[in-house]
Amino acid sequence: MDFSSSDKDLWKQIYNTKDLLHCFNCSTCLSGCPASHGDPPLLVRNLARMVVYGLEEDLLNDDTPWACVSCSRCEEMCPMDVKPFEMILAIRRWQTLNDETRVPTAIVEIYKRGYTQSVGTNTELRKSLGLPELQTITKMPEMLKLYQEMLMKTPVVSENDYMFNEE
Amino acid sequence: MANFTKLSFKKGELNQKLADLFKGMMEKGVVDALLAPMIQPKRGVMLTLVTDPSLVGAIDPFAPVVPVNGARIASSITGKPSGRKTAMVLRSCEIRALVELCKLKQAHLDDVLLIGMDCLGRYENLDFIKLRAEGQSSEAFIEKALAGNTESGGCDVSGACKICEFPVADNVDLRLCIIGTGSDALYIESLTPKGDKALETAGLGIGEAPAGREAAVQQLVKKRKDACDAAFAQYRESTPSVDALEDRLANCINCYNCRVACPVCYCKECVFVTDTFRHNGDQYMGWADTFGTLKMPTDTIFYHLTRMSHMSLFCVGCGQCTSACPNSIDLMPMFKAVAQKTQARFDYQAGRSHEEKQPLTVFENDELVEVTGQIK
Amino acid sequence: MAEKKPTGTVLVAGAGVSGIKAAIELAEIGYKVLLTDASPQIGGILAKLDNQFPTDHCGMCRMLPLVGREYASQYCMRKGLYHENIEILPFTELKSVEGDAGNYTIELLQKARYIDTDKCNGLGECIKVCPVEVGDEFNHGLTKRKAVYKPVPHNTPQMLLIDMAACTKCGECVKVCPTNVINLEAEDELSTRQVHAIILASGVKLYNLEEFEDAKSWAVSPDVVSSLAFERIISGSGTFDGTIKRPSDGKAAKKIAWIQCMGSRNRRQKRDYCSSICCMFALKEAVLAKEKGGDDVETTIFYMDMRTFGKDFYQYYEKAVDEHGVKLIRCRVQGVMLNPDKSLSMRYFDSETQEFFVVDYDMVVLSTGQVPYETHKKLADLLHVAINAQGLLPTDPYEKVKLIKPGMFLCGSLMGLTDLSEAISSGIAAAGQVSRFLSGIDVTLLEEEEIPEPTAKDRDEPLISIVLCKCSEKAKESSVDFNALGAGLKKLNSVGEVNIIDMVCSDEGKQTVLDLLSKSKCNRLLIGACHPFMYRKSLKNLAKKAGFSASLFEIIDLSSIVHKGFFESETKDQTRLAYNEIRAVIENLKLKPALHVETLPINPAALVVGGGIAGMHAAFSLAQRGVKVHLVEKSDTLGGYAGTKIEHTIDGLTPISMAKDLTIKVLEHKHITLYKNCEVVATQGSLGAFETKIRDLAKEENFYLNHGAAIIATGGHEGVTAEYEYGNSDQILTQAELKDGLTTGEIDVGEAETIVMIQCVGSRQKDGREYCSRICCIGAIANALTIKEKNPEARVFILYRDVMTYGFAEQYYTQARLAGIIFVSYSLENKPKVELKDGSPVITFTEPVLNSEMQLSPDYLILSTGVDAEASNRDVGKAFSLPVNGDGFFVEADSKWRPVEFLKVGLYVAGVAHSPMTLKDAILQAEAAAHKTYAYLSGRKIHTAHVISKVHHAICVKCQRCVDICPYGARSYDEVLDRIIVDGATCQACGMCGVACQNNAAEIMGFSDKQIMAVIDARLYRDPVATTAQ
Repeated sequence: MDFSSSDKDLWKQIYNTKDLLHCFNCSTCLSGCPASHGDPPLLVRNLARMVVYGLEEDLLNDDTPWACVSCSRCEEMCPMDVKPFEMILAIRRWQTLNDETRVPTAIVEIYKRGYTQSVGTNTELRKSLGLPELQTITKMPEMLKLYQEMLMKTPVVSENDYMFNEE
Repeated sequence: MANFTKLSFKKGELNQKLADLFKGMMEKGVVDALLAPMIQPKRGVMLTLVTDPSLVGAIDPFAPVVPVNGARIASSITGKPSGRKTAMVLRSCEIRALVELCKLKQAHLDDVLLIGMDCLGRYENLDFIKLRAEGQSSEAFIEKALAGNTESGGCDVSGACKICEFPVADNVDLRLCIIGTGSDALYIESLTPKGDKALETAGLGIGEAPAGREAAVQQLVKKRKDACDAAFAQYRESTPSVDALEDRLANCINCYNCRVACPVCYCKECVFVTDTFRHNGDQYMGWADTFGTLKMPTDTIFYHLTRMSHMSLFCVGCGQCTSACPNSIDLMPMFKAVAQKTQARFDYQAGRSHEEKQPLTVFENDELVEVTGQIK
Repeated sequence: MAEKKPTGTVLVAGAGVSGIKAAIELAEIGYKVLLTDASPQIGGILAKLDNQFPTDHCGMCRMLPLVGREYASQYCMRKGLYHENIEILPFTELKSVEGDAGNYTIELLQKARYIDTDKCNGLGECIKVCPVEVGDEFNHGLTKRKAVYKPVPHNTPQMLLIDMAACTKCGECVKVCPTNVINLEAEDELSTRQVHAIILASGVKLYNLEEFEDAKSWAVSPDVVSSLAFERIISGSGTFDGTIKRPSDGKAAKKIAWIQCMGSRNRRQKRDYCSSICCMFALKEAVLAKEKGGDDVETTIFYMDMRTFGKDFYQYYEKAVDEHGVKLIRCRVQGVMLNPDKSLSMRYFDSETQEFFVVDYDMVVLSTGQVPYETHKKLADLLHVAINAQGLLPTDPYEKVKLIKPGMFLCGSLMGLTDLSEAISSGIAAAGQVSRFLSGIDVTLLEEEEIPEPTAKDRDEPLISIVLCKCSEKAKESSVDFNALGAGLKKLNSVGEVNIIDMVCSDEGKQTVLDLLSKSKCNRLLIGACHPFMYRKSLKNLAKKAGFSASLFEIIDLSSIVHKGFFESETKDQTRLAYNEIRAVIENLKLKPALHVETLPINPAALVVGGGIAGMHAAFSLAQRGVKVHLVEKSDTLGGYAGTKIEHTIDGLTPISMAKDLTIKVLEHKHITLYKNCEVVATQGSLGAFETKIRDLAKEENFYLNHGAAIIATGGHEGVTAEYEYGNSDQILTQAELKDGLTTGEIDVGEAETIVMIQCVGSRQKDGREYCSRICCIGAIANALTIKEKNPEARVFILYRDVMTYGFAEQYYTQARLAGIIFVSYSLENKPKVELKDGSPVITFTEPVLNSEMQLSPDYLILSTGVDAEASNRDVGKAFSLPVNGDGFFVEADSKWRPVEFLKVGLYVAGVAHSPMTLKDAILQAEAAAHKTYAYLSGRKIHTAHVISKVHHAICVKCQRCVDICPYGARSYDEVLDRIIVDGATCQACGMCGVACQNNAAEIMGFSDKQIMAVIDARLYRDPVATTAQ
């Protein structure tokens, strides 16, 4: 890719704060991010780079910001105080502003299983620590049904039901 | 590649031929002086230094005797160089020792045309004189020795020679070859540019290597090697303990002849004749107290072990130590056997090459870190 | 002589290595030093470190003076420090400082130890009986200690103290104390002192994560330790006698991870600087872990930038990675998780594969960085100065060690985040500044109190006087019958008298001995006492006073015999054992030669090679102290590279104008003679008497200069390259060319859209400059910022391998990112590619974060080509026979402990001749080198040591094996004299020559074979009829 095609001032549109510029890609935000377990993983550091580089196209089509579970660990740990969580929200905002019809796949995930992403990864650890297995709605079909009906009442789902029903 | 000059001679004329050769070399200015074994007016054959071409007639390099290891002589002549070009005719054991002395800065070969000669062994001094008196000539010896028999008139060449794997001298400019050259010819082989130049100036043509030589040399070396291994085995078996060692050295009287005769014992004054070993009464009494009886003179084994620790890395096994002992202690096998191991430990071989650094005087890069803290 | 001037007295506050170094340097030239430390011991952090890279050995002793080393009365710095001119005050705080330059009144608060350490014999009976146990801070709580304890286990004499916080005042210790020196009611003492100058060396704290929220995510197990705690774990004197086990359960730790930048490079914690020592620290620990723990130990370092900026650092890094297989992962991990099996798991992201990995480790080591600020604030208030913008003590812009307040100086990490070698040079530099300062005011030096060396009677028949202290009789293990022993010894030939007295160590004891000896007819002396190393010096002086020359005097440790007798199975008869031991010493003593010191003729003039800023600074520093200086410069202008090419630096310095001022000072100074267009050809001689041949390139003639010492300051210049199409396009420049262009305005970036800079061009790679040039990253950032000023719209990319903005320079890195400058890292294996498209550069490279190919077509491509050594270094090296490394820089005596010295005493190095460094560091080194030089040229007597190697020319055959083998280059063969020459000042009596020489023509005086053999005989002595002691 050629940088000359990228928009050097994009970051001002998306997340116009000096905090972002402090980022030196140390990866702290990545290494402990729960959403980074998802598929595709949420890679906060990479998003920050894309914003700084001004890679508009790639950013617009990137769904991972929506996988963020708002735990804000990145916020807590970032040594440069970039406030990555703020940035994630900012990217979401910017994406939707640039495309009203956008329905992030994360919502489909929520509709399908109540979570933005699979939470299977930790079951081993939970077992080893003697914690009970995590109760997920997918294990209770009738509850899931009610839950989905409920969601179907919200406009963002009903207006895009084609995305939710086919399976 | 091989640079050989054939020098045919009629029976009894070998020395004459060689005399002419060196005379020519000196007249043509290849060298200004010659150091070679020559027949002495009174008795015996000794290394002799000649600067007048007309006086090389007495030359007899192949006489089977080495009264003094020539390395010592070469060292005294070149230690403080004269600057005059000198040809030196020496045997392998002398040249190997000379190489070590050069590394120890006790000799310098810049002005030397080094000429090695095939060696079939040497007799002890007195035996040689006896044999000469009985009329044995160098040529006769060569013929017999090449046929594999060095024993004659109850005398045989020294033990060191019997187990010497170096009948042929290396690290030389020229080589006088008699092994595998046929009984009527001597070949001069040149191994260095210096040698080539010498032959050229001397007006000697270049020819082919004598057909039989290589095989003959290998055969001889093999024979000697086997003898050597056998000797070592025999020695190690016979001297398994300090007791056995004491036994072997029991007759030592601290005359230090072995040290004087040793070509690589290069100290001006041996530590054993310095104050370090001039003990006082208290000490002798103390030892007497401790050991009950005290054999005099003391420090005999200590002396040999010290000498061994000093020179076993440089020992070339010439056997002069044995020859020099008035009480016929056979030191050679002991020193040579130990030397073989110590030198192997450092993957070193005394006299093998001028380039190899002597062990224990050079350091690995960071060997001294603890001392100086410097890693270069 | 009018009324007596006061003795120059200096306070050195802080006894870490830099403080100790400063103290020693000042004490050596004859000033009185008060050396205080807030902690109960001296040595600072280094007391805990057994190994320092690059040698991975301890080298502390190399801080000690090499010439007259015997006068420092000690050989191992880890045991402690003794120097007659240094008053050591541990556990002492600086309470207040009043007065002005050259005349300060200070208040010192000495905290109570509850033990009189002067009288305490250090055997620690009290410790045995103390019932209280608490965590031992020396081993970071990994081990336990009693309430009464030894702060540093390996110190001798032991400086015990009682930790009142823990003490229950049960009084057991008081009961058992044999010397009754314990006073549980002791109180802190406040004292007032007068000093003429002050050096602050109190160092900085290390980051303690308990104090910060990091604890939550890191301190999850005892197996997560700080790098300093790990140092104790691998230390031979440490927690597990050097084997690597995890603290939690003592299981061998085979997988160990290091986490860099703990508490550094952290804006959120308001610590946006780089601790600068941690990278090498971690590398060293990782290497040691392998060496001590075995090859099956796996070591991983999680880092952001590997800051291997110092001399030889990069080679060490290569060695660690290539030879020791230390694994490096570029990722800052968020925290560590404790697994049920006690192992520690960490998750990291690998950019190359864009994948996450979870790895389990046995132990996690946190590279906890240095923490300045707090210390600085406190000190600033104490000294009545205001801290500067950076929150640090206000120092001279060019001279790091010089506080803006006259007569006050600082050194070590207090200057801000220094590594060991810089701490040492700063210690020397600070001492230098002090001596410059004191030479300007009305104070004197301590005159060396010389007890006249008694005329040695070593030619007379040996007659030995024996003094035995029977105090060890009291020890319960002891069964020595002193009367029998004395009787036995008396029988021995050449024993003149045997005196048995009690408590030689006590003052009364000493007096008794002195009285006895003054009457003695004997010519040699043997004293048997317990733990003599504690008062060897005072006993030596006592012997001297009584007329026994030091070299005909022996001390034997009786108490150790008592212990031996206790353990040795062979004999339980301690009297007999003692008899044999002493007999051996007597045999040696009988044969001892009288050793004499040689006073070296010192020519009080210095030669400085190189007229750059370092050279000029050194010259001026010396001249100011009245030393005559020859300054040799091969060009026709002074100033060197920085002083002629660099207008201003990022930290606001203006080298060119600074050099101009300095030049004027140098030219005007009456003690400095300048030789332009001259270079060094050859030199001979040794400390105090060098003669150097100089070539005048203009006149094309040679002349000679005589000098007592020399400083090499030949400098360096910007590197050259042919890489990245350099020279094939006028859009491709070096940083220096850009800097020029920007200042002169020849380069206009106003229109520029994109500018790309590539770092490490030809640097930090095997086939190129195998080192970091240290200044390029900062230089590049400086230029980039200038560009951004002139044209904020321009996009500036800096392609780097590791951003080397160590220490407080980190702020420039942050500043640059804030200015929108974009940093993209590349790896040595995958360098950027540059090609020319119709004359203009096009750069292709892999963007590591997104792991994708990127392309840039900049208006300018700027190359950071590093710093090259002067080509002439090799010749200068040859002239002085000094080592020059593969990169063309001079090899100092010891990269850590003797940074500005060469192994050959009397020759020193400063500035870029040593290695690439910043202007301030070059000036620091120049000051240090100047002081080392001054220490010898100051006019005081310089003696060789008693014990050095000699040549017995009569029996020497000049085989020169000793010359080859001498590790100090103290031996040489003089062709004219046809002799082996020993440089008595450089020889350290290591004994190598003695080993190489076969007939003892080379001998270490006082260690002859004869003596050694006599001792062996005596030890093997068996008495036929065991009548000796009966």
